[in-house]
Amino acid sequence: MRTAAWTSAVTVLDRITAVFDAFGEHDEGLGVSELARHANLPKSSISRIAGELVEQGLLDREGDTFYLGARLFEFGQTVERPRRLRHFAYPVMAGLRDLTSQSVQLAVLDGTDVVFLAIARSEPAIRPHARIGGRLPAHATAVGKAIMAFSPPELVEEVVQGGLAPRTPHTITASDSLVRELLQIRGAGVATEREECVIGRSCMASPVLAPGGEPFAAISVAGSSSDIGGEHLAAAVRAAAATLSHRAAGLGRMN
Amino acid sequence: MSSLAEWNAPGAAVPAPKSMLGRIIAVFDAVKESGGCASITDIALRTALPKSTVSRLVTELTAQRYLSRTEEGIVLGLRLFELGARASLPRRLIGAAAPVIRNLRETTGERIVLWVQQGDDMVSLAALPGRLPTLPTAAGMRSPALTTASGKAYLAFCDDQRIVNRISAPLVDGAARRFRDELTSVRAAAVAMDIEKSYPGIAAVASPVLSPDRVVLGAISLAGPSDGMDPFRAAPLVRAASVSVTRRLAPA
Repeated sequence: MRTAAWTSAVTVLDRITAVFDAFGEHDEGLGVSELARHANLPKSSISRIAGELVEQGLLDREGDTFYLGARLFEFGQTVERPRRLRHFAYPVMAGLRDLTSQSVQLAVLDGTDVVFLAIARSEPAIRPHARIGGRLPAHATAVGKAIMAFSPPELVEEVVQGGLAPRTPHTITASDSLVRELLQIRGAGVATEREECVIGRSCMASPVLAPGGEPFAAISVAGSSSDIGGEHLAAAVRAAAATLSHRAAGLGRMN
Repeated sequence: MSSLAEWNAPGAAVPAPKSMLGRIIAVFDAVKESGGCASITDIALRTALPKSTVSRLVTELTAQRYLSRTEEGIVLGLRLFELGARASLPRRLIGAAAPVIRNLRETTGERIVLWVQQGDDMVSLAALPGRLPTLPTAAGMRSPALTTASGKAYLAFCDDQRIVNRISAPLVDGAARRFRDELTSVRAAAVAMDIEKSYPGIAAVASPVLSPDRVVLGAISLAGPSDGMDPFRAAPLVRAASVSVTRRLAPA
């Protein structure tokens, strides 16, 4: 809990981060009062910080409403790892999308979450529940399970310590069930997520491995639960991941 | 303890930014301008900040995932990628414009770019390559608002006179008058042109993208070789594309 003492002790950077984090997963705008409430800072300092951030383009203002700004988009486009991985993986992702008629995602593990770096949308698109730049808990996603299954046990331990919070009634919340499933994924080379993140949606993923064998990303196919499953789809996802792993070997370090 | 007072510290004569926010942005810019990967020394040189200050700042920014350290050097971090993906205006504009600019590219075969205004520049949100082989087509590119077709299209419809004045401030008397006249005619035609002024051999045509309530949000530009692309034939197509983006921005 951020208290009055917190307010006076934090750095300028902490305040800026609190303002950015006040904005939710979607791109809705916030007024000064909502910003102050979400960031837990006094309205007077929020007005000042937000004004400075608007001046620098890090926030946009329309009337009394603030949005995350276009300059953040500019910096975001320059971030090296997603740019490199997107460039590297997109042709294979588009190929898998065309082969399966489902949306294809590329994600990396960051702490106990996965972050989606690229999405090749199927058309007509069932809107994928993942979005580019979006973050989801690793244990509730196929990409997260695929990466964990091929990672050292300390990494799985860290995710387990994070609490395995449920997203739906189908989310794996017991550590022994998770470990059992990861072992099975390791054998099969493909992870399946059945409505463990969003009801009605399912996903299959395979890890992309660096030459040393450690996973640095995962590629997945996502769609409505009735469309996801079967050995045919599993083979297509595995083959796409193998192609990327093979290409990564020719390119050196990817992450 | 740092105080918010330093935010309002008056700008010194030296180029080094004084406010904490100014320094943070200078560090991001320095990494971006070093080709995405920089050392502490590179950043110190570009920001004119002491190396010790840069080093402290980089440590703080790395701890909060705005920056990341790799074997090659300091790079922008995943948090900036995540925040950038949630920036509202780019998302809305890209969502509305994607099929329209794809169609314009297919119809004309020329390079199409969707832009927003940022400081004294236009910044690309999306770019589709045409027959011009030399120009980069990444998102996040900058080009000067004052001389480019997209910049003039934006400025002609910009309600905030302070932005127009600031960007056109370098122009002297005659040039300033000609610029004002040009913006007036751009307003009438809803199309701006840049024939070989920014880049030799390249002609560009741009039209402003307005919100459904007529606030200018950005611009769409088409660029081709000046000896092969007729800007007056392209103009109505670019204009029609920007009108259809406006229509697609309206809530369903």
